[in-house]
Amino acid sequence: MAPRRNQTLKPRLFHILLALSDRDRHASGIVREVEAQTSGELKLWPAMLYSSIEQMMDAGLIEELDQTERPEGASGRRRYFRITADGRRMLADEARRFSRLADLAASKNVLTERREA
Amino acid sequence: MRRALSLYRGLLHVLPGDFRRRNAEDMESCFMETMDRRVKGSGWLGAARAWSAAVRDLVVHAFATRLSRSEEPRKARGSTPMPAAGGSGRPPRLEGMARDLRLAFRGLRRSPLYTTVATVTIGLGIGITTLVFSVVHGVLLNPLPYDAPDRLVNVWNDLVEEQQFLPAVNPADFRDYQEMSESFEAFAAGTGPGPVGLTGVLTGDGPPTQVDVTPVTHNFFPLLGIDPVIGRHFTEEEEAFQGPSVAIISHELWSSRFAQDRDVVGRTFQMDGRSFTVVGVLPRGFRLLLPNEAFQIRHADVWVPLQQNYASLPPRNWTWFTVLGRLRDGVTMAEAQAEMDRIAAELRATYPAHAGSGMQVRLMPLQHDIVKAARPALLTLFGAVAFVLLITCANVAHLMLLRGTARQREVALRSALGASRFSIIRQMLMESFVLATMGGALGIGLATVGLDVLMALQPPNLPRLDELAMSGQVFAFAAGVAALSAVLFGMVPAIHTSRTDVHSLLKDGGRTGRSRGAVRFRQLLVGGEIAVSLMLLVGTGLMIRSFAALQRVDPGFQADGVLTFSLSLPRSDYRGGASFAFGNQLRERIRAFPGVTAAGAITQLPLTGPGPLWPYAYDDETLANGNLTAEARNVAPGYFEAMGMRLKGGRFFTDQDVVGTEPVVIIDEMLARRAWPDGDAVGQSFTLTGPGNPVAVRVVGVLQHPRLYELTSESREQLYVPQGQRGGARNSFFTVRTAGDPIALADAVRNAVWEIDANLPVDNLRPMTAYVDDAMAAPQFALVVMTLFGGLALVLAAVGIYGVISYSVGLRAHEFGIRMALGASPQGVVHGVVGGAARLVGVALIAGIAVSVVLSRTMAHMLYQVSTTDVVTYAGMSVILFGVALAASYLPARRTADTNPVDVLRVD
Repeated sequence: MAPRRNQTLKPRLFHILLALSDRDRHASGIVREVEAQTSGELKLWPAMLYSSIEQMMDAGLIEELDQTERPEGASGRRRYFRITADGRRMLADEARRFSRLADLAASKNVLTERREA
Repeated sequence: MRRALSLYRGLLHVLPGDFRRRNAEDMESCFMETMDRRVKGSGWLGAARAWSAAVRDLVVHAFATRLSRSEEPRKARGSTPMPAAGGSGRPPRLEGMARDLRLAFRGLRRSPLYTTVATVTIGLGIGITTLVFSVVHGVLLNPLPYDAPDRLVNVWNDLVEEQQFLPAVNPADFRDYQEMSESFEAFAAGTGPGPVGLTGVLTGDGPPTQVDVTPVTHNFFPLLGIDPVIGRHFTEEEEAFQGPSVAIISHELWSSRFAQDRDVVGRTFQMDGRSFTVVGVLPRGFRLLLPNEAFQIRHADVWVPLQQNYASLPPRNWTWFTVLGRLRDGVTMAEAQAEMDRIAAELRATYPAHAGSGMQVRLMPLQHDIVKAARPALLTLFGAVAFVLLITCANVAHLMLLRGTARQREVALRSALGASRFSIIRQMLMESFVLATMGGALGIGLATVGLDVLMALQPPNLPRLDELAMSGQVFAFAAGVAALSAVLFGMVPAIHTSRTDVHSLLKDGGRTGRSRGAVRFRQLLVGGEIAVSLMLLVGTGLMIRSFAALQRVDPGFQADGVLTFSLSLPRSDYRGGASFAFGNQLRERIRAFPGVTAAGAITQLPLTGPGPLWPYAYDDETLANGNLTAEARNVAPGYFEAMGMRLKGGRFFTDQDVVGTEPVVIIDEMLARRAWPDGDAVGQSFTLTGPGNPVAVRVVGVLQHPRLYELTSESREQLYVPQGQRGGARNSFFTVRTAGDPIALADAVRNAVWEIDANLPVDNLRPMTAYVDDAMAAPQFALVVMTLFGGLALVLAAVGIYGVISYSVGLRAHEFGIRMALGASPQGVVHGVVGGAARLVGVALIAGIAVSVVLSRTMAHMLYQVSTTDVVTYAGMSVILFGVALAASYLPARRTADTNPVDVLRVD
């Protein structure tokens, strides 16, 4: 089933997609990248990560790489994941939504830094 | 870190099976990497935080995945709707369960103290239950690590007339079994190194070292289903008397001595002055498991073919082969035993020695034989932890009731808003399941650590210790216990709390009426807790009394101030009287050390298991029967003096008891009573009827009976012959009595040995008290464990009764306030409360005593000179428990009595 348009993503799914947007990664790579993206605010633990991965694979947002497609020098039997076209579209939709929200907020001066009087 | 991985791997079992199978491997590596970073980042504290996060992650997802599963069980994977942040399409019931789960977590997070106390309590209960189960599972339930272990039997020979019951067989009988029996695929045998003239001193590369060496028949390893990882089995030809010197070595020796050389087959090594050729290497981790009674044979690093000279054998009632059999498929144990009974009857009819000894063959399933000694203690222990678990459940149930009371308004509100009673119960149960899951995770952690500690402690007399592990079955058990405890501690409080109704709550502020039911339930809980605690305390008390009795035992020797060590003189260097001369020289040097008052030697020390038995006869009848045997030891002068043994009459051996003088013997009082019940044994003579010529010996001394096998029971009849008349002994233990600390002599002793022969390894250099401690170790360990459980039970019961009395006193504060306002004295209030508690405790104690009397019978085998209905123990423990319970009820009573009645009444 294709994901519906305009559906909002849970933050952790958004961050996993974002982590996969610039390169294919294995699980530990995703964990590290998400931590970096969120300055350590979002820590993914294995069960949460893998149930998210399964959900997103079921939804066709990401896919697992075949043995042959794995990056050069990939170690051991680790599984690598890649974002799909659907996933990319969904990520972009979500990012645009955030951006619109941010614009909206900016237009109302919400983002103006509060200064001490 | 490897520990952390295996623990995490175990915890992964909380996840649904298919999810785990797909992802476990990746999850483990991902977890390890994260852990690594956390530990590097913030050390020990970081690791602890990370663990708690990882466990929470698993628990939450275990629930969540299972819930989302049950929503659409039939939908194919791959069509799950995309989870969105907004509402999901779950059906109402499961939506409800997911909400309950969220509520449970939220509720628990809001009361961190309650959550922590409940989790730790339940974790403790599950932890020690799991720990003991892992031992029970590993030792008793797990099949032996051999091929089809349920078909393996150990053959015992019961020489009824001689009172000898040992898993030991005469070599000629061993051959007869093989020929006459149809029930067995094969019999295989092994024995100690002595009978084939080996001692196990390795020389060559590096310093001489002592190894265990065990001769076995060629089919011994095939019978067990163990194949060499390198090389081959022994062949039948290699079993020929004085056949080739070949050896199969253990994986450990292959690693330590041959650096895991793959081409080790054909390489040679020097042992006892002979050159042995390696023909095979056993698999890593192989251990020969045998019952404690196994005679001479033991697990070894060097295995050689059993080259027995079958042409020249002593009488048939001399037994030194350990014989294992493998039943044919389809043959039952009973059928095999019936056949062996027939064979034994035939052997008795044919051989006078067997007729005289009343020999019977007894088959024991090998597994049962190995664990039988540990079994009753383990089961008792398991029963004890089950009780501790019950007590922890009772305490958590208390806590939940307390919390339920505190939440009555919330519950009343929810039911007023239309929540059904079922949904309220369900939500509270969900909370107990979450608690039990967290407690279970903690418990598994505790059990894992506990198992490490246990294995490091090396509990005495526990077979198969190396095999213990937190296996899948153990995790499954822990999960089962957690689920069971959740129901145990959660059900009744949930029902009670759900009973709250709005009207009465609003009417009287939750003070009376409904709560009485909860009080009764609590009293029942506390009563049960006290009864169960008493059972554990009685168990503890019996062990303490038994241990005290054990420490008063007079073993017939004085272990204090005695240093012992063993030497094995290689046959090649010490022929004829050379070993005797060596012993004399060494003892001479040692006697000259300052502080040393005596030095001697013997072939086998007390408390090191049964030793060789020699046949003897003291009149025509016993000579004709040939059925008497006694523990026989070869001793050098000074041994008895060094061991502090006492004479009942006659003298000890002297340096004048040498070849050429009249053969003499010292016997113990037991043999003296048997042979000469009416008179003085000293000066009498009797016959040693062993192999070779019968020898007439004269009794020169009668010894107070020393306990050779164990401290708790007398041994068999004993006779001691002087080394001077026997040409010395190549394997012997030396005993040195000193006025100072025995172990301080160790270096001097070693040097004294090496000054005479620099190639001799000095082994087992330890004080005699160490052997006594070993013999005490098993009961001591049981004592420590039971004391731990008993103490835990006492504390938990005290906490329980304190909680209940506090609670019920709190409920009645209003009533007490009125009473005191009307003139009742504070003492009167305290009396009333404590008196009520005393009645409750009294009834519980009586129930506890009744059950203890029945249950403690299972401990009879662990007790020494204490009856399982020992009045002192029962009375003492009842008084202790009664006192603790009253103190626990006095505190809240006193507090209430001390408050100003006006304050109490003003609360409304």
